[in-house]
Amino acid sequence: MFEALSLPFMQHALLAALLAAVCCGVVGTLVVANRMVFLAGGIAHAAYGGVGLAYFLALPVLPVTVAFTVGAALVMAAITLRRVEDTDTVIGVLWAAGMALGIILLDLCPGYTSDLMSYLFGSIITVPVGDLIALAVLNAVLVAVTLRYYNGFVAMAFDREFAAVRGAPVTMLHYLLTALAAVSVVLLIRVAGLILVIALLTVAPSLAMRRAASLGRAMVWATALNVLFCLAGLWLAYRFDLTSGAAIIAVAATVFFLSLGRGVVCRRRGA
Amino acid sequence: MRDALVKADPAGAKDYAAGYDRFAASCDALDADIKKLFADLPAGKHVFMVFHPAWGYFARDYGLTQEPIQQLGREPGPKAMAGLIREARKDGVKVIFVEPQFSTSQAATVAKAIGGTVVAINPLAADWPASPAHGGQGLAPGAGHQQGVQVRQPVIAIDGLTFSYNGQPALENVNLRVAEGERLAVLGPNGGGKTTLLKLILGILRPSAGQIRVFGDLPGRHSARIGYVPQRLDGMAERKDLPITGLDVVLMGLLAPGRIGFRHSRDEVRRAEEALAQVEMPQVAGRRFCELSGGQKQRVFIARALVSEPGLLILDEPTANIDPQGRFCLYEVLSRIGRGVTTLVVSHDMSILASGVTAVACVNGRLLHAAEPRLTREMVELLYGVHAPECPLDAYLRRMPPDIAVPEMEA
Repeated sequence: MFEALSLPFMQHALLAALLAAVCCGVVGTLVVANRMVFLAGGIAHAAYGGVGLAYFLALPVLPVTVAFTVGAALVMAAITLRRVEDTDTVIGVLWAAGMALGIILLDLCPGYTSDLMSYLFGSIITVPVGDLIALAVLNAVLVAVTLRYYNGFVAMAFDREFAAVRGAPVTMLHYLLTALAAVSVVLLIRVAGLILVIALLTVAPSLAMRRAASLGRAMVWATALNVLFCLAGLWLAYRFDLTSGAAIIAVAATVFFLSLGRGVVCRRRGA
Repeated sequence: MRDALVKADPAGAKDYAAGYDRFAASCDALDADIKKLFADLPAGKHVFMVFHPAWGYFARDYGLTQEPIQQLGREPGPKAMAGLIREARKDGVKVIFVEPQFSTSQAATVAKAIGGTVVAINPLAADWPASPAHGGQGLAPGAGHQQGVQVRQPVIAIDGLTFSYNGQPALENVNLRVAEGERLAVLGPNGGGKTTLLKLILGILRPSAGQIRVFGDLPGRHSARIGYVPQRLDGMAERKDLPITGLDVVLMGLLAPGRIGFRHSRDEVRRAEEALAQVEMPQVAGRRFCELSGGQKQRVFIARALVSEPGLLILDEPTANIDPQGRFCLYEVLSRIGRGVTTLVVSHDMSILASGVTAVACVNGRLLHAAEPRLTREMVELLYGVHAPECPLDAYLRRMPPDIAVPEMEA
């Protein structure tokens, strides 16, 4: 492992893992607390439409994907806000439609055949330095925004109606959170792949929220857990020559189910 | 008066279409009261605050200054205020009419500057002008002198309110006044429109017709002055996985528009702890909210509403999720903390009448109001319907204890 750390690509991978851990710990906790996991999944998959669009129009991938994904996310956020009964269905359709659009557009691209797998699972060991810088900036923005609107986010998660009655800008915060989730997802897709993104966004926050006394502490714990998952996953990937993203998810899922099983056993004993 | 009003402002008159007669009657009443007031007025300087949408027409009818008033109604700057005071000083008796939204502190400033008193005229108040208790005292110049300003403005004023869900009327022609310090119980069956009424007062829903004023303004404008205790212990707030302590929940009551930041000040934390002590729950401050019992949660919610020292406390079904014994403890807490605070408590449970309320309203599509915490016969019929003599419910309703419902011979 230690000789691996002297390799530049492993250093980059570790840095990417740490940055992704912070990003997913903060946004993920807010997403899980507001029960927007399905929405985040929809956003992550719809982002693929943005990737396809960028290739089709031969434009830079990152800005186009960010714009497309934030747009799709805000549409989904608007649908969620209106609380129509088939919200889940509509998001599910947008989820699939975004992805299909991306694939079709990539099919139509002359001469270019994209590797879908690289977007699904990402490639944390081939992260370019530019992406690391973008992630670091995003993390700074995220932490600043979260600190600024922390009380509003907590109140919105706990009791949206009361927060609105007290004059907290609930609608704005809902859109803000969705947009933050969208930007995070896009930046992380290149780093980690959209399946890993959803795992990092949900597993660690939901584990952290069960124990922590406040949402802020849950964010810190979720970040710490994400770091742990990423480091363990990277080591496993290096040691056994596995796909890094899948190895990280395997670690996260194992811890999640172990914790779930322990919870069930404890409850049985308590009863 | 009425005809003049329609002629002067047909569009304005249309706004009051639902309650036009009531509106016109209040104009006439105001007319008469102002005449009487002017007859009795001793020499001196006075600032009048008129809580009536037609204040402008009265000003014209009586040949009173109107020009500076309109500036005053729209939050005068320091320059406008100075001009107003200069004008007011020139004449002997100066009468200034102000709009309902006008801040009482500004009227007091003008009054102080001219060495006069503030007199509030509020025909929209529940006890205007028929109530003998009023006796014109609220009108008498100087009546408000001791406290600077005496404003008899209802906390909640609802006129000709109708609300429909998808064309289905849930509430029809509701009129209601809740005066300051009043503690009103709103009773009604499930689906009768109680929660709809609450949401209208809170500004979550908008009326289909009629108008609502809360603190003399549109609902939702003064959200920071309302302490709201929601019904549900179900749904979001019942979630097991949300990490939040009892103290955090109480601190949520200090949210306000534009509030940002992460930390609460030491003073805010102290206030939250005091609010928890008020509901006898200081021990839950550091505990996770989701681990508390239903009754404890409800009390934490009340503390959350109290922490902002609200001008209006609204409780939606406070007893819905609590066992009977816990309920009466809650009533004790309620009757103690609510004293002096204008309170609106909504319930389908008649035992709420034992929680120290001063008035009762029944809602079931329409609304009936009684100024004492006892149901009239009409209210019992609105709540339970009329039953044939052979129906057991008929006998039950007739035997209702006199401290809950007015007995038949009195009715």
